[in-house]
Amino acid sequence: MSSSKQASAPFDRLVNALTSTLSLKIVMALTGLGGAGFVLFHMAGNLQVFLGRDTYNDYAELLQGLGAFKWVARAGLLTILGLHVLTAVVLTKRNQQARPERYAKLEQRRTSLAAMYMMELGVVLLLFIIYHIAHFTMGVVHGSFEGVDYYALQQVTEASTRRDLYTHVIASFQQPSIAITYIVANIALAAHLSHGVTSTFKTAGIAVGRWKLPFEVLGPAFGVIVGLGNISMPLAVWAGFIGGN
Amino acid sequence: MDLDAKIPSGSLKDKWDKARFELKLVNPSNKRDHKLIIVGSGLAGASAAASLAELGYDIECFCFQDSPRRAHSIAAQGGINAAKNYQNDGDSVYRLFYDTIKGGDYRSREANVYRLAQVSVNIIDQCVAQGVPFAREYGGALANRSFGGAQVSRTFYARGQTGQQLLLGAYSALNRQIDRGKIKMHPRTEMLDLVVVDGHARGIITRDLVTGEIRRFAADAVLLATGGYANVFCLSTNAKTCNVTATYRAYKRGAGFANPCFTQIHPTCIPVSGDYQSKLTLMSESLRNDGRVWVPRNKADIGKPAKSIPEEDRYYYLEERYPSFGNLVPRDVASRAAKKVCDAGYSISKSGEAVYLDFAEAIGRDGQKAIADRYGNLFEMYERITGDNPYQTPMRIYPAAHYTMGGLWVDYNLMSSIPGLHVLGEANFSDHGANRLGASALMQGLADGYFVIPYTIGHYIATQYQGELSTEHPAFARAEAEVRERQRKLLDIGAKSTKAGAERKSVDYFHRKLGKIMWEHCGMARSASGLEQALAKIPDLREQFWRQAYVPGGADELNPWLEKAGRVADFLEFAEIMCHDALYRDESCGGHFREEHQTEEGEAVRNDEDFAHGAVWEYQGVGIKPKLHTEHLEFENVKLTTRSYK
Amino acid sequence: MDIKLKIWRQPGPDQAGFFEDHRVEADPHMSFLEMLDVLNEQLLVAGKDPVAFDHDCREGICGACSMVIDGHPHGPRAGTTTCQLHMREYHDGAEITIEPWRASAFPIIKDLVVDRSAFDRIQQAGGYVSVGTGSAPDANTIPIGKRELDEAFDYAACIGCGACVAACPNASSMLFVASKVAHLSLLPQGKVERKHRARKLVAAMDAEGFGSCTNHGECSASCPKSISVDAIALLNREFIRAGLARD
Ligand SMILES: Cc1cc2nc3c(=O)[nH]c(=O)nc-3n(C[C@H](O)[C@H](O)[C@H](O)COP(=O)(O)OP(=O)(O)OC[C@H]3O[C@@H](n4cnc5c(N)ncnc54)[C@H](O)[C@@H]3O)c2cc1C
Ligand code: HEM
Ligand code: FES
Repeated sequence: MSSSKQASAPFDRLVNALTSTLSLKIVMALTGLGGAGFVLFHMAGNLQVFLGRDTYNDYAELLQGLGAFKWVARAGLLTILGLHVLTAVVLTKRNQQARPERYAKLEQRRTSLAAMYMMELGVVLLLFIIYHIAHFTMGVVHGSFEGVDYYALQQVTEASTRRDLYTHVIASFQQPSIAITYIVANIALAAHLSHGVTSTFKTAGIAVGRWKLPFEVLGPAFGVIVGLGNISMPLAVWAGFIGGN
Repeated sequence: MDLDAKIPSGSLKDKWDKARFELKLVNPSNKRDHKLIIVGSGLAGASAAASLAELGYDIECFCFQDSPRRAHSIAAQGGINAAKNYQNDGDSVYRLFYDTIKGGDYRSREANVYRLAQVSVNIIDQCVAQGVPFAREYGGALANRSFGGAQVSRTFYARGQTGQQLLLGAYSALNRQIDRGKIKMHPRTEMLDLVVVDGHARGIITRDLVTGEIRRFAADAVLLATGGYANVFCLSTNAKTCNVTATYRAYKRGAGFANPCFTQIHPTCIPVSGDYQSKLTLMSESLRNDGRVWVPRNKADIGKPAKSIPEEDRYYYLEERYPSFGNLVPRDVASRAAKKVCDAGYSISKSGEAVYLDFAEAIGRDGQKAIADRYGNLFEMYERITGDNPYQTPMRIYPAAHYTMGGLWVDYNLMSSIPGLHVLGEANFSDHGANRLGASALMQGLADGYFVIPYTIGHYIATQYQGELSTEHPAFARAEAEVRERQRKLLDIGAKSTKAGAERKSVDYFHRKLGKIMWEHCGMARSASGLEQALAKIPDLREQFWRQAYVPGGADELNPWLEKAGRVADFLEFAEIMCHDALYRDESCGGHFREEHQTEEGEAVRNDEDFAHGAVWEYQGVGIKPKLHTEHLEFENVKLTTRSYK
Repeated sequence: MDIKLKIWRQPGPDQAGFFEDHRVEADPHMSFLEMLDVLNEQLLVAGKDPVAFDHDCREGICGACSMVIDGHPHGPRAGTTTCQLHMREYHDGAEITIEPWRASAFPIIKDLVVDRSAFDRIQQAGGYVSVGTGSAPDANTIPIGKRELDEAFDYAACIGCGACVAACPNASSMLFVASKVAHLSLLPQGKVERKHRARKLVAAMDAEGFGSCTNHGECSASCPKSISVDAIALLNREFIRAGLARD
């Protein structure tokens, strides 16, 4: 029996399995994928802004009305984000420690710009997520413009009051600074996902051999779709395509 | 010097079985109390270390590379022979035995060679089980090719990197034992001397190449698997660090050095391109299966582009001189033929050392694709080095020093003339006689390490164990002091030459000079007068070395120049023994061609009457002619004939 | 040709390093290392300290040579080791920057020489098939399809030079480890111990302080043996499989 075999006692195995770079990487990939799924769903839902005020607000109300489930989903998303950020920080730190002394010159041959700046893009995304929640979810920032409180509940139909999110969105995106912030953040998201989604399937050991190419296409395609989908909204508002009177 | 080969009695076939029965065993539970030192982690060293550790011995293994995986064995390209007869084409243990004896020009021991052929089959099994990816047929069975002109297909190969794959197999076996704690591996550690106590090899003195620390190691036996000395020629196909130090130091401590003049020159290497040349690259022998070797028939055509020389003006000298073997004659024959045409002034390059290896006909016959399938990677390598495209212009090739059949004398049990000192692989004087067949060095290294030494070392331990020994023994102190003194002297020449304002010369300068002398006088063709000249020049060069060679840096740090200086200093002494041996062997055989002994057509003439023996040299002092001993070779099974490839 | 060199010099592991400028007169037919030999000879004769670098076989198989040349491990030519690089790749007057492999797991010993023993320790942790000498069955007992074999071989071709680590922005050794795991787990001989091997090698790799893999693919692009980055996905798969296994 080899000595190293004896060493792999169950406890060691567990510790290894939880702290190994590969395990962390897998957590990062799974949480990233979860996030990607959420982002896609989120975009699809929001694209209803093109279908008009009522449809959009109906959808928003539906989500708000999920009650306990909503909080479960929020907790889930927060956990996912938390784990993703945690693993990202741990791994990035390990990576930096692995090369304390930089090269005078190191040229890249194959990787993409997006891949080289995953952490920076991630930081942009994290800031954006906070901002975005503060903006639309909590109304802490940009809740009101020119004296109008868009975040407040309004009598939209005779039967009920609800938030007029649609108008809040339109009004927000009519502000160039807000629109630009969202566009920039979504370019960052597109870039993050274009590397991230492909990477996920490599990390999961799926994108190999004849499956490699499809997944190498999937990532950038996914990034572009989500990015364009999201960016289309501020652009459309800006161009007066929606929300124009 | 006791040169009893200890060949078991009985019929050739039964000798090894008999030996295995008669060799004494060591009690399994005692093995862990016996420490063995293994110097070398190439195929021979790594396989021995792994196998002996498995048996339970306590192993310390040394190599000077940064990893055992980088031993020179890694560079072997072509393949490894084994008498598996998977191709059902008439191969057998006996045929492999016969071919090896004949290929070696009847200068090796029958019993050893027969054992080698016997265990060859187990080697392949062992390597495959370790995960060595030998080439296979579509059906999943192992593939073979014919190599070096053998008439049966018995060569197993792994693309163009058989050596690397075999070594990775042996290295993984070594790693497994390191993991188990049975082997302590010392990479970047060079053995600088052997310690002999009461006539037995009991330890070594080493230098840690990173820190410069000099250390003593004691053991119950010492195994050298330190490779060959082809770098005595400076330019050779060997890796840059290959050297003679380990075996030469053992020789200086009393081990007999056998047949040092038996060196192999490989016919297909990329020629020298300038003075800066640092090594020569081998192009696989397999190229001669399709390539045709030629030079211009008329001197007027020399220097013209190959394409512009019409067919009838090309001299396909191998095909014309050896109609039945043509381009596939053995290495020594092909090399000499190239030298002959070049010496006659037909070389295709200014250096006077190059001939064409032309694939035009094969490409015309089989198509470029077929040729690319067969040799694509070799062509690519050639292009990378020379900048020429061999699909369009013929390759330029020339022979280069490649392998050394000579080495420390060992008996049937691989023990040298110093009891306890065992020698494996290319380092021993081996089973290849005066010429080694292609794909047989890997076989021998692994046979020694996996299947021979595990039996024979036990016998030594069981019968001649000398008891415990501490490194405090005066013999260790003496050897260590000598090592330090030598190192100090080497570093001093640098200091002195700086002070005196004398011209500093690099160690490489002396190595190149020595190489030139050896290549000219003790290379492909030798003569008494040439060898005598060499014997006159070498001591002068050595003396100049000790005056002028500048060794920068200090002793207590990584100092590649100090390492090299030590190795070249040993080559400068060793080269003389080679020349003495070549001068003594007044016959032509295998790789040793004495111009005085050839037929009218220039073929080698052997002298079995006077030289059917191994010449074993005993150290008498630096610059003093060593003392000759001989081991008579008994041929009971094969008849000595003249090799003919006409 | 006149070549300007900017070479990393570092007297020892704990000393500070710096770049030093040199000029060499080279010949286009020289190999890159021969050009450095010429430089060293020049330095020696002038009584200066020559540049230490690792090298041995000089034919692209031992994996000893190791330098980052103008930002590329082993230089500009794909699928080529430093020792196989020739000066005809450069033009007269070229300026070349030479650095060692940089990774905390590969500490610098001197100048361009680094300590790659981490690779050995990783392999010692389980990069082998546990078969004793003499216990092997006949080599043809287990047929291995040519496709399978070729795939395994592509990974077995690794020469252990460490260019993958040098090239990786994270100094990750995944391609190296993955090649070992892929080579053995694709062959029937190696399948028995595959789970154990994947776990052990990954743990050993972490212990050495290599970075993690971001799937940049730089390793494979700089690999002198052009080993496919697929190896890494295969290792991930092996690792997940091993993690889910009960034994
Ligand atoms: C280019 C080339 C191609 C070849 N192709 C083939 C082929 O196709 N088929 C074939 O059968 N043969 C081939 N050969 C020959 C074959 O590769 C060698 O003969 C064989 O590998 C030698 O193995 P070895 O174990 O004896 O020595 P090596 O592999 O040379 O190992 C020597 C070991 O000893 C160590 N060592 C040496 N001196 C010291 C010291 N003083 N202190 C510490 N350690 C020391 C080294 O570090 C190394 O680990 C080829 C040779 C060359 C050069
Ligand atoms: C909208 C939110 C986000 C989504 C959808 C997302 C998605 C992904 C995906 C799919 C991956 C690929 C995982 C893999 O390589 O296997 C990834 C990687 C990464 N993410 Fe995110 N991410 C998000 C936010 C963040 C944030 C907030 C950070 C950091 C603060 C971050 C940092 C990283 C880093 C550093 C990587 C690459 C790590 C590596 O491979 O070494 N991400 N992300
Ligand atoms: S010196 Fe051996 S690979 Fe470059």
